[in-house]
Amino acid sequence: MPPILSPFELLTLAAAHRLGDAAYGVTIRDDIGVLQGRDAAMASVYAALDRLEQLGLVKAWMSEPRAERGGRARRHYSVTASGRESIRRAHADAMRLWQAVPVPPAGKRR
Amino acid sequence: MRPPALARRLLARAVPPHMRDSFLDDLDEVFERIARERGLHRARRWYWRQVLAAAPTIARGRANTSTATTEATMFTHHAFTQQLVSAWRTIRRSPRPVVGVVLAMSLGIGASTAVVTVAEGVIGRRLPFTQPGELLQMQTIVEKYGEAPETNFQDARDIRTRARTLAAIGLYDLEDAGVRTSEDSVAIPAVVVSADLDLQRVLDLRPVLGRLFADDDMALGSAPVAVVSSRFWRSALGRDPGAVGHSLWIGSRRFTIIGVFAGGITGRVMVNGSAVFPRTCMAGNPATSPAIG
Repeated sequence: MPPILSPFELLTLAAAHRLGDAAYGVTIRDDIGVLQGRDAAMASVYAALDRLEQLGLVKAWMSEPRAERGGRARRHYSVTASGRESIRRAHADAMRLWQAVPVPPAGKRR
Repeated sequence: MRPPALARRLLARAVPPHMRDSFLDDLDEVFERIARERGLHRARRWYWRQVLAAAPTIARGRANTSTATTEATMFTHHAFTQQLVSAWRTIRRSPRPVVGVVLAMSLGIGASTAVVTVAEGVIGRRLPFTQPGELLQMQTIVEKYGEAPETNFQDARDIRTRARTLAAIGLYDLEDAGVRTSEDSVAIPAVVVSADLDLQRVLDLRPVLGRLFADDDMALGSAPVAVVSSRFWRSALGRDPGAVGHSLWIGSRRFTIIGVFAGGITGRVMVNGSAVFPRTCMAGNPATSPAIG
């Protein structure tokens, strides 16, 4: 049975997928900000990445040591085949749902 | 251009150890970017907001003990700040119910505090005597009529004679009276206690000025004398160090102050019972003195 992801985990997975090889904490956080329209806490991003990694949906890898980080490497993430399958399924579910729901007309909010 | 050290230390506890260095490096990167683009002050504020967002995990310290991040932890991470924001929006949208709830809670808390305070004062507080657990009050119950308002003086005296388990029995009579410090002054309302000699011992009174009652004060025909509590001495006699020897008027009777006592009963004036009830106390006639043992 595919793992059940929270909306934020799904968002994190989608951001990592969009970024490809450039996906690491900062870029994923920035991309989530673009996708959901507001900033995400870095701790939330890392918590989501930790769980996605445990579920086997993303895989961490270390970059080359970087001078601006005092010789430390960045922890990058790449989406695994299972992760891509989760994205595909979530996308299909969302499309099926929203295609079946008529969009209500814009009205005054009460 | 360094992030706040305390915030950094706190945030280090928000993620599992194997991710810690990368996490802190990423935070530093964003911090430097914000400081460069929007100023150091904003960057510091952003950094502290990161601490707030991670507060549930930091508080639990789970990130230090386990690398497994459970569904509950995840939920808390995201939900904590979201719920705060949601609560604030709800308050702004419809403040009246919130004000009502806050008022109701305030009243409830206030009422509970008042009840607890009164209960503590009435039930919980120890009686102001040296050994309150060993103090008891005698009560006469007449089979036909129930509780009598007072204990017969002669009964009390008989009990005093025969008692084996009571260390002492003090006899007294209470009266609400107006006490004057001079013949023409305004009367001060006070409880006047007509006492016998043993009452001082039962209540463990100590003289702080002058003396307490002595045998002679309880003899037939003795002069009317009074000892006053330290509170009465402070409030009515203005802490007068020369109060001993002065007079007090209770009704039409004049009493000479022989001392000031501390402990046990407060706000009271105690007079020698022999002067108030000469026949009842000393001659052994049936009288109206309840007894304390």
